[in-house]
Amino acid sequence: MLDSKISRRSFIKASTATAVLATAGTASFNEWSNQYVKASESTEIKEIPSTCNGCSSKCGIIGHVKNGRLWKLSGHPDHPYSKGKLCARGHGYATLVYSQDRITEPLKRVGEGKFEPISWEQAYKEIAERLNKIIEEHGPRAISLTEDPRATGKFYSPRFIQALGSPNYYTHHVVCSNSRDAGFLHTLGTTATSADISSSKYIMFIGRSYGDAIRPSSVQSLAEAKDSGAKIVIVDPRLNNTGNLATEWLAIRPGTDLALVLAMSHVLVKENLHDIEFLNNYSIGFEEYANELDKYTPVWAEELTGISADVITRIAIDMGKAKPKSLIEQSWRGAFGCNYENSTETGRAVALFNAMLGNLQQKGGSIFGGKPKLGNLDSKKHPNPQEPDFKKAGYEEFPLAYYNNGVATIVAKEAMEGKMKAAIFYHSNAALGYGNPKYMKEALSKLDLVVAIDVQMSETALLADYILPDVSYIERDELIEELSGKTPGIALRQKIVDKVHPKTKPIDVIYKELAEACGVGQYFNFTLDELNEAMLAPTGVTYKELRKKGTIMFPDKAIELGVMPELKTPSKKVEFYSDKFKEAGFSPVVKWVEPKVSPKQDSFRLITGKQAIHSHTQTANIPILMQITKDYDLERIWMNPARARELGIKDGDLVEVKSSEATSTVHVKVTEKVHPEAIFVPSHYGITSNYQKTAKGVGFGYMEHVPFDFEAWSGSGNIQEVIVKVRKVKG
Amino acid sequence: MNTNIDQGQAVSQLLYIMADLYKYPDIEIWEDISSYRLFNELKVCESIITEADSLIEITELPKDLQYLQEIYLESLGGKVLPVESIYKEWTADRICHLPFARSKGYLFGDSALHIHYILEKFDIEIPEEYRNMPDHISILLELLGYFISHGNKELAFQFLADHFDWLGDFEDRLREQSGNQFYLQVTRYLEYILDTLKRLPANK
Ligand code: SF4
Repeated sequence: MLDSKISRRSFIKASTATAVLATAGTASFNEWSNQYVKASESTEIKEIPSTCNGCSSKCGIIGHVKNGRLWKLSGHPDHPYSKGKLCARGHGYATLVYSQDRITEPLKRVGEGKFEPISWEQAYKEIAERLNKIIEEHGPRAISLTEDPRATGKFYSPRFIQALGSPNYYTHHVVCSNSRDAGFLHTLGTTATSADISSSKYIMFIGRSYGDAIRPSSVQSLAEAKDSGAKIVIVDPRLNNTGNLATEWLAIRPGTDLALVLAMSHVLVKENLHDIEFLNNYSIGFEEYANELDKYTPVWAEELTGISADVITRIAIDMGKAKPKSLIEQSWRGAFGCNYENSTETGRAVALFNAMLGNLQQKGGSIFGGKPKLGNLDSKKHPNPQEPDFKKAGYEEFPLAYYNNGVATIVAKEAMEGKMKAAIFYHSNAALGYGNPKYMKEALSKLDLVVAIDVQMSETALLADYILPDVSYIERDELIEELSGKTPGIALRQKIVDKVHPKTKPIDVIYKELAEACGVGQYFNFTLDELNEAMLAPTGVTYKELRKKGTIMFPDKAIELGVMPELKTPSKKVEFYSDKFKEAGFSPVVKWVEPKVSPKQDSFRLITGKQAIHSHTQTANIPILMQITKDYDLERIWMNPARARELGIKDGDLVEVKSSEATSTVHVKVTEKVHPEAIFVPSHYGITSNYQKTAKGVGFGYMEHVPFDFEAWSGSGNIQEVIVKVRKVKG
Repeated sequence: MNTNIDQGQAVSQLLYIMADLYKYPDIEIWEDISSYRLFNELKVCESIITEADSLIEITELPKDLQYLQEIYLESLGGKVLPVESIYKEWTADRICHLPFARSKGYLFGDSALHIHYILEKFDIEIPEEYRNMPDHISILLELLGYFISHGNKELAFQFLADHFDWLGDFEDRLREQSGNQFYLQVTRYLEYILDTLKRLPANK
């Protein structure tokens, strides 16, 4: 009767005999559902320890699995970041595994924003051919790989690009902590210290907010400190969500944190409250710095920061008296991770202020965490790729930037200049988040090859020639994660449920197979399990044991407080005077540096920050988290009432925000909680990818207003050097 | 549903054709579509099931296979997945602690578990790539066709009642999509056919 060929594509394969035997009742959904619900109380629940991926804290989690599905998540009690608890993002982000917006199979671009499915084999073959051709024609310096690193990526990504002969491995830190990292690195020999918050008596946060999207244990420690009577000062142009734990909020003029720290340092010296013995034993160049500090009086700083000289003096004296149990928290992105032209110098001044308090490696002070001693692959059996004999792109321009992380936006700049030809992005939405999206889009379009490896159709994926689908973090095993801190430990992310989309693959497999296609498979002749076994070897912990426990701490390897370690700076001491800075053409001692731009009377500085329910734009497409945004209008910009009055703007009005780069419309929240010179916009919104149905169209993209730029010291994105004008559109 | 073998086969065949329309289009189905062979067959099947002529037409034919593949990827391949779980409360398990347990919009919900149960019970296999998406519309339609063609009327009717009540919401989502309306029309036609099946005298 029928001629069409459709029966060839039939999905189901049945054995005929059984169908006729069944009766409808036994197979009806209601009947089944009743049975299933009844049985559910006694259904076996498997508990699998793993780690969260809701943000880069990677807290320990326990995945509870019932009927092969994720059924519950809880915080891992032994993990130092979760301590048995998960934050809202951690719970919300897990929905990703069953999200309808995942990338489910490899895709190849066939036109602007248009893709067609491609087999893994074909995708590998084509990518390999194009990479090898680019290397042949332009050399390995013309290819790059960028990621927001997680444990497996940290090992595999640099190894992969190095196997192809290139050192061009980059991380997201260019819009996170590059400035702080550079400031700390050349001062203390580490990109970041941690802090013994719960034992501290006086804590200052500069733009950093534990109440907005930081790991659960950090909030716990701060609450403990508060309960023990610690003074907690928030320095931030907006009153962030740590406000309810704070004793004082200093609404500083944005971009002037360096002036505040310099003036407080001045007071310490003037009042003789710095720890002279510590400085004599463990630092170099303090005298030069003290001389420089002479001019940075509280009165001088008052003019710049808007904080009264009396307050600056009082706080510096109180912190000096509370030393060594007082500190400026080291922050991450905060106010000096990548925000202003003076951020690296702010980072340096903060590290030095802590050193002046003598709080390094002291109870209640700044801590150099201990790391677990892990093993590595036997290099005879598993040869390491050769180190390229040239430095990664961006090193020459920004020699102070932390080399391992590099300056990721150099890839875009060099693409514009025709020097960079290929870019691989793994777990990274660089096109939306790292630099001005218009610039990034143009830059990526100039590349001969863009590959995106991701779980969802990000703006970067939309610009890629090939998209390779990663499994979600709930569906994969990963490399062992080092936990550094007062007590070192290890944690393991492991597969909680089977992958939902069978054509997705974990990153270790993708790198291995792509390397084989590129002809460098010899550098990936091991499995993830073999690598994990090798890492565990020196610890005495078996892989089986780690799989069972998920997190294992080593209390016998805890660091000894009160014992100052040898630092990894050239002098092995705290460097108040840095030859490295001098060699790079900068002042060897910290000096005041003006921010790059300043608002006038009719304009504002655009500033950004986090909200507790989101992680950058990574969680914007999670429906239950975005619903909270919508329920509370969290995407609005904040404006101070005095400025709003001048502009005839009322709470809830629709306004236009205009910068040199873009114009956006958004509703406004009029609040005393923001400095009059600043407009605050949360950093989670403005998704433009059509594939992220939940997120698209909510709020505006902060980065659209940020001019593509590099901070001179560390190459960071200068993401708060933005001036905007605001006008009312509709009441 | 009439157990008359010709009518049963016609219904099954029609459902298999519809199932195929919801799969990623290849050259073979495109040839069937573009030559109108497929629609003619649908009409033949339809005329065996009911005397009433469908007023619903599939008129928005894409111009070529590449375009059909494009609109598939723009809709059924991602933005509007034709998977039952997405349109239903994820689980009836009241003690499930996930924050989305009672929400719609997620894969591998209870309806998927039910299909797993059915597949196991009837010893039916599906492709590996649909293991965690067994309530994809193509599988549901093939299962329905299979139950009909094997003469288990009660089971088929129950299955029809259980697993196709979400098509209205699915249609709404397709309507929100701009561009070619091919899949919207296919879905409207499917809804008409399934309604017709429910109303057949043998099912009352
Ligand atoms: S802080 Fe929250 S989102 Fe981040 S890893 Fe921990 S639980 Fe997950």
